[in-house]
Amino acid sequence: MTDRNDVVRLTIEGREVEAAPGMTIFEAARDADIRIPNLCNDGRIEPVASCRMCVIAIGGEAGLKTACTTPVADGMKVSVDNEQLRSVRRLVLELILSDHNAYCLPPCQNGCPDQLDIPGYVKAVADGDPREAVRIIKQRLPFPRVLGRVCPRPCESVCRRGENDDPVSICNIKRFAGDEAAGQDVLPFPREEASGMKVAVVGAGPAGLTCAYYLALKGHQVIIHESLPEPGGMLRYAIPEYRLPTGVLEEELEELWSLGVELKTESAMGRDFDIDSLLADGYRAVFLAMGAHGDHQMMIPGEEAEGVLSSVDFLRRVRAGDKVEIGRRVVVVGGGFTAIDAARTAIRLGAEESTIVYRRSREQMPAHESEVEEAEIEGVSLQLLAIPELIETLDGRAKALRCLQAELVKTAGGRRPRPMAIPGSEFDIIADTIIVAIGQKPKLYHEEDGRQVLFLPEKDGVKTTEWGTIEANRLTLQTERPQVFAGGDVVSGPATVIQAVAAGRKAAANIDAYLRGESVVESSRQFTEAEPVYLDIKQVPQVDTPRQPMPTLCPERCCPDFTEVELGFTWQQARMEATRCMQCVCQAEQFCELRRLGAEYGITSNRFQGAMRRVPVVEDGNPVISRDYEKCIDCGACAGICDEQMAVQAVEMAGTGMDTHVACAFEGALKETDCVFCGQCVSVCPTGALDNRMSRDLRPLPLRGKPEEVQEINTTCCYCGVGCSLTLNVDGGRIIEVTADDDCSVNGASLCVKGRYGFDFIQNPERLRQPLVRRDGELVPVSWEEALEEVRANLERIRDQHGGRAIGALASGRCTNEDNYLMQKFIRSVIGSNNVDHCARL
Amino acid sequence: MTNSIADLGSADVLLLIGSNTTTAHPVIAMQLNLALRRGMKLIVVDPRATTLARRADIHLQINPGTDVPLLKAMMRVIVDEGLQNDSFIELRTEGYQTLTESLRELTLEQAAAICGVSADDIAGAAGLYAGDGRSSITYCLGVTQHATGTDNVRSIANLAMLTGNIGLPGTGVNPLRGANNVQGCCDMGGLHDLLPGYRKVSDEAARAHFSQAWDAPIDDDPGLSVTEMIDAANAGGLKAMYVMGENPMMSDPDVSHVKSGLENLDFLVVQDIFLTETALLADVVLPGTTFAEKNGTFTNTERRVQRVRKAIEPEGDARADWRIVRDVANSMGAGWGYASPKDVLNEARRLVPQYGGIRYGRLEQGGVQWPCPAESHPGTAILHSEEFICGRGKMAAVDFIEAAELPDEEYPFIFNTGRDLMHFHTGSMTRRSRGLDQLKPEARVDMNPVDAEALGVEEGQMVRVSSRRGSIEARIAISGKSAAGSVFLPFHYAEAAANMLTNTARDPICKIPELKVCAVRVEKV
Repeated sequence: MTDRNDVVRLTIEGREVEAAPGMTIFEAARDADIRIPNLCNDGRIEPVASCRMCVIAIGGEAGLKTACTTPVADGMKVSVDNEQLRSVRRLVLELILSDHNAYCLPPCQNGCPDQLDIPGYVKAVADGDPREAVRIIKQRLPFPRVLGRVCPRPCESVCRRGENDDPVSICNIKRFAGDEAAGQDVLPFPREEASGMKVAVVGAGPAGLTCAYYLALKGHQVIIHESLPEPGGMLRYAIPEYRLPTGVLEEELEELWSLGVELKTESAMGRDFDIDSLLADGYRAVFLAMGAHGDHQMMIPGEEAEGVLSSVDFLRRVRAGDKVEIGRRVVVVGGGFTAIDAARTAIRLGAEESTIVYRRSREQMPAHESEVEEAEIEGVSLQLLAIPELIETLDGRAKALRCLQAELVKTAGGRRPRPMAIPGSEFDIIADTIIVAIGQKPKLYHEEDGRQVLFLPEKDGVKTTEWGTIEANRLTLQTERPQVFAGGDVVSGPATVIQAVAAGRKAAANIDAYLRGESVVESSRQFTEAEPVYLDIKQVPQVDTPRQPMPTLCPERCCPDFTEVELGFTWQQARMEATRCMQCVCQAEQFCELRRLGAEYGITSNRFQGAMRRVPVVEDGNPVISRDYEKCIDCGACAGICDEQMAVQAVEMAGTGMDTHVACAFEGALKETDCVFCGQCVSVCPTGALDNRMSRDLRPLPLRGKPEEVQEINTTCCYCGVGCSLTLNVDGGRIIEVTADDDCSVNGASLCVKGRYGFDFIQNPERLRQPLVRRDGELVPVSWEEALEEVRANLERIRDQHGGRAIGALASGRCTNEDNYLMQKFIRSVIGSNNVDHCARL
Repeated sequence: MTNSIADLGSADVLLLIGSNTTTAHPVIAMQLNLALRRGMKLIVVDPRATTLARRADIHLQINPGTDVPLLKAMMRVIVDEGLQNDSFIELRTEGYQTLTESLRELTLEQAAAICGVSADDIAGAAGLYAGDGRSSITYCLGVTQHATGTDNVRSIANLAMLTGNIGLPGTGVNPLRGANNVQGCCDMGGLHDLLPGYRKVSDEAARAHFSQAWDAPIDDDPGLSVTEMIDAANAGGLKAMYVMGENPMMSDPDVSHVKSGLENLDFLVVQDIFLTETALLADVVLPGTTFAEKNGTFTNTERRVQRVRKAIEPEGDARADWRIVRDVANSMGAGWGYASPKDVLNEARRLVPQYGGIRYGRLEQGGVQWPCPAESHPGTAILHSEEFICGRGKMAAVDFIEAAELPDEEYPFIFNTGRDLMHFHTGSMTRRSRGLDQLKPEARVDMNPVDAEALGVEEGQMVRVSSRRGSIEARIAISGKSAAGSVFLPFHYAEAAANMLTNTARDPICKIPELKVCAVRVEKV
C-alpha cells in the first residue's frame, strides 16, 4: 500500500473519488465534477465557510459539516445532495436574502414579456443617443417604432417610479428613439456569416417577422410565406392607421428586407404549400406563426344578420381601403383593444354614434385606460355592465342590440368578478352596424368552394389543441415534428404584440440551436430563468418631476381622420422623461451566484424580511469600484482576498454578532485606506455588492454572460511585462469591461488596477484617427496615400543622399512581435542600416 | 526570466533587487504576498522603503548605485563561510578563481560603508540566500538603469551560480520586463546590435543567414542604440527617424537633449495612437492601433508568447502597425506579401529557432514559453536546467564604479525615477484612462521627512527640482519611502517630466541610460 500516503480515496454521492491528502472535500468534489453549492469560496483565499451553502453530511458522523473546511479522509462517505441538505440550504438562502435588499432584473424588464433592457435604452436616450437606444432595443425587438406605438406597456404598470409619482413613460421613449434613429439601419449585433441553411416562416405578423429578423442575423436564409397581400399581420390589418401609420410599419420592415429576408405574399398554408412540401423544398426548419385571425362569435340569435361584422373583418377591410358601409349608429361589443380600435375607426368613417358594449365595469376593461379616454374624447360612448342577448333584425338586417343589465358577482378562487344578468332588465341599443370584438382565435383553415380545408392535416405531424391552437412545447416552441416550431397567437391564442415578438425571438434562438445541432432545451434556458421576488426594496428618493404628456394631434378632435393621433415626444421631452428613470439595475444579474442559487432552490419570497438591515450605498468618490452593501451577504470573501493576496486590509469585517458587516476602517472611504483599486474584491464578490463602477457608467445594465449581446475576446494585457490574460467585453463595438481570463496560467483570476480599469484610453476622443503631415509648420490631416508618399519620398531622398546609416528607427516594447519584426526588417533590409532600438531596454 | 512567474512563489528565499513589484508588476506582487503568507523569506535590496521592503525579513536600503559592492560583499560572506555550491561550480561554471580573487578587494565592513547598510544585514542576507532551500533572485530596472547596469546583472549572475541557484524550480535569475512586449521586441531583433533570435550583427554567419532570407545585404556595422541615435541627431549625422510606439520625449534621459536632436532631424515620422510629446515634433504622424484593435503576439517576461486578439475595429482611419510598416516598405520597393500578422510570425519563426514551434493555431490553447524549437516541443519553463546556452556559466570579476553623477553642494540630492501604480510608462495610455488618472492625477516628488523639515516644505507644497539639464515643478509627498538625501519622481507626467532632469550617461555595453541616479537641487517655489 505504498500509495496510501499520496492518495486519499473517498466516496462522494456514491462515486469513488481520489484526492490528495490535505485537500478539502469541496476541492475533491470540484475536481471530480461533483457540484457543491457555495457562495464564499474562491480558490485564491482560505475557505471560511461563512456562507454555509456547502453543507454536507458524512456517513457515520453526527451533524452537518461544511465541505470547504473539512479535509478529505480515507474511506469517507460524503453526501452532498439530499432533502435534508437541500432544506438546510434553502433556510440558509432565506436567511441570506433576508437582508439582501435588492432585486436582480429591474421590475420593468422582468415585467416585459420580451425582457427588454429598458433602463439601458432609457439611459441612452437620457444621454442623448437614440441610435444606441435603438441598438439596445433591437437586441430584443426589431421594431421599436411599431412597438413604441402599439405596445400595451406592461412595463409601465410595474415601474417603481410609480411608487414615487408616476411611472416612466417607457413606451413613448422607445417610440422617440425609434423615430429619431429611423432609417439608420442600426443592427443590435454584427450579422453572422451565412450558414447556407434555409428556414421557412409561415405568417408575416409580429411573431413571424421577429423570428425572421433574428434568424437572418444568425446568418440563415429566411423566406416568409404570407397568405394576405401585404406583410404585417395584425399590425397592418387590425391596428388602425391613426395608431400605426402604414408608412411607419413599412419603413421598419424595410430593414428586414435589407437583411435579405424574402417575402412571398398570397402564399397560403394548405393551399399553396404544406409542411412536407416546405421540407422537400430544402427548408431545414419551419416556424408557424399564422396568428389568430378567426373571430369568436357571441352565439346569440340574429348574429348572422346583415350589418353584423366581425372586428377582424371590419378592421381589415378598412385598412385594405375597402368601402365599408356602417350607417349612422354603430355598436361595438367587447372591452379590449380591438373593440376600442373598431369604435374609433367607426367614428372616423363618419358614424354619428359609436357605442362600446361591455359586460363588466370600466376598471375591468382589458384595453388600456388611456385608450379608453382617447376614445371617449373622440365621441365613443360606453355601455358598461351590459350583456348582449339577441340582435333584432328587420328584413335580415341588424336593427338593434338587445342587452341585459348586469351586476358583478364575486367568484371563488380570487378570479375576476363575473357579470350576472339582472332578470327583466332588457334594453335595446339601436344600431345600423354591430361589430363583434369579443376576441380572436387561430384560423387553421381556409375556405375553398365553401368548405373548410385544414392547414395542418394529421399527416403533417403537428398537433392542434381543443382550443384550436397549435400544440408546441411551452419551453422550446418545438412541435411534435422536430423541424417545426410554432409561436405567437397561433399557439397562445390572442395575446399582445410584445408577447408575439417575444415568441418570435425565442423561436429564432431555438431554431438556430436546432440547425446547429445544439440542444434546443439548453437554448431555451436563457428565456426561462426564475426570478426570486424580493418584497422589501429600498426606495430611491427622487425629486418629483411630472411624467411628460404625449402630444396629440388636437386635444378635442371633433372630426378625426386617420392621421396618426399621437405625435411623439420632442427631444426635450424625451430626455426629460428618460432622466426620470431610477435605473433599478443590478450589474451582477448575469453572474450573481446568489440569484442563481435562489432560483435553483425556488426561493421566491422574503420570509424573514423583518430582519432587513439598512446600509447605505457607499458613494466614496472613487472612480472604479462601487459598493452597495444592501446587496452584501457578509461572506467576507472581499476582506479575505484583500488581506491574503493583496496584504492591504482595505476592507474588513466590522461590528459584532448580528451587526457583523464588511466595511472600510471606521466605515470610511476606500481612498482613505491603503486600497490599490485592483478590483480583486470585485472579482470574488458572489453578488453585485461590489462592482465595476467604470463599466456601470459605460453601460448601465448587466454585462456578463450574455453571449448574443456581449462579445468576449481573450487577449493579452498592454501594460507591464507580466502579460496577464484578459477578456475584453465588447458591446456594440465598445469595450465596456475587462475581466480576467481564469484559465490563464500567468494571472489566473487576478488583475491589477491598470489591467482591469485602464482600458478606456482605447476609445478616447484624443486618439489619432487619420494621418497628419506638417505643412507650413502645422500638422494637418491628410489621406493615407498622401502620408505614405510623404514618408517614402523623404526616406528615399535621405537614404540616397546620405546612405542608410543616416536613418534610424525605434521599434517598441508596446507593439506586437509582428510589428517589431517588420520594423527591424525594414531598417535592415530596406533602409540598409542596423539603427533600430527601443526605449526600454528591460 | 530564467524561471516562470508561477514558479517565483515556490522559492524558499526570494532576493528582490531594484524592483518595486507592488507598483510595477502588481500581479506578481500578489503571488509574492501569498508566498509570504506560506512562509517564504524575503530579502529586498532597494534604496527606497517599498511596500515589499517593509514586509521583508531583511531590507538592505543601499545607497543608489551601490549594487556591485553589496553583491560582492554577499558573495564574500558566502565564500568565507563555505556556503557556496561546490558541485555546481565544478560541473557547470568557469571563472570561480577569478571571481573569488576579485571578492578579496573589498571587506564586508568596507562594503557596508559604501552601501550605507549594516554589515550584519549583508551577512544575514548572504546566509539566508545561500541557505539550504531554493533561492530566487528577481530584479528590475533598479538594477539595470545604471551606467553600470551590465556589471550589476553580472554580479547577480555570479551570486546565483556561486550558490547553484539556477535551473531548478524556485531558483533562477529573473528580470521583470517593464513593458508588455519588451521581451518580444528584443526577441524579434529590435536591438541595433542583435538580429532576431539574439544573433549578433557582428557575426558574419548570422548576417549571411538573414541576408539570404530577406534577399538584401545586412550592414556589418552594429548601428546605433536609441541614446546614440539622439546624440547623432544632435551632431547631424543622423538625418531621419521613424519612431513606432515610442515616446523618447518622455522616456529618455535629458529631454532637452532629446528634443534638440529630434528637431535637428531632416525628417521625423512618428507612428502612435496619440499625438504624444514626440509626435508633436514629427513631420508625418501615422495613426497606429492599440492592442485591442489588432491581431498579433506579445511575449511576456517569462518568455511566454501569447496571442493579442482584435476585439474592436480601429478608431477612425487608424491602421494596424505591422500593416503600416509593410506599406511603407512596399512603397520603397520591398515587395512584401504579408497578408496578416500570422504570415509575419511564420517568417520570424523560420528564422528564430527559439520560436520554431510557436504558431498561431497552437497559441489558441494558451501561451508557449520559448525556447520552443519544434511544434512537438512543449516550451521551456526553466532555462539552464541542464547546461547554459554557452556551455559553462562564466563567473566574472566585476569592479565597482560609482554612478556617473553624484550629489555635491550645488545639487545635493540623489534623484531617482520610477513608476506609480496607477500609471504606465510615458503615461500616453493611462493618463487618458479616466479612472486611473482620477486615482493619481498628478506627479508627486517623494521626499524623506528629515529632508522636508530641513527644507521647510510641507505635504502638497509646490517645489522646483533642478539638475544640470533642466528643471520641473511638482508637489511634494513626504514619506519614509525615500531615504534621507534622495528624492524620487515617477516619469509618467508630461507636466513634470522626470526625464527633464536625468543624465544621459549610459552603460558602455548595453547602452542603457542611468535613469536611477543623478544629482538635483530642490527648492520651494
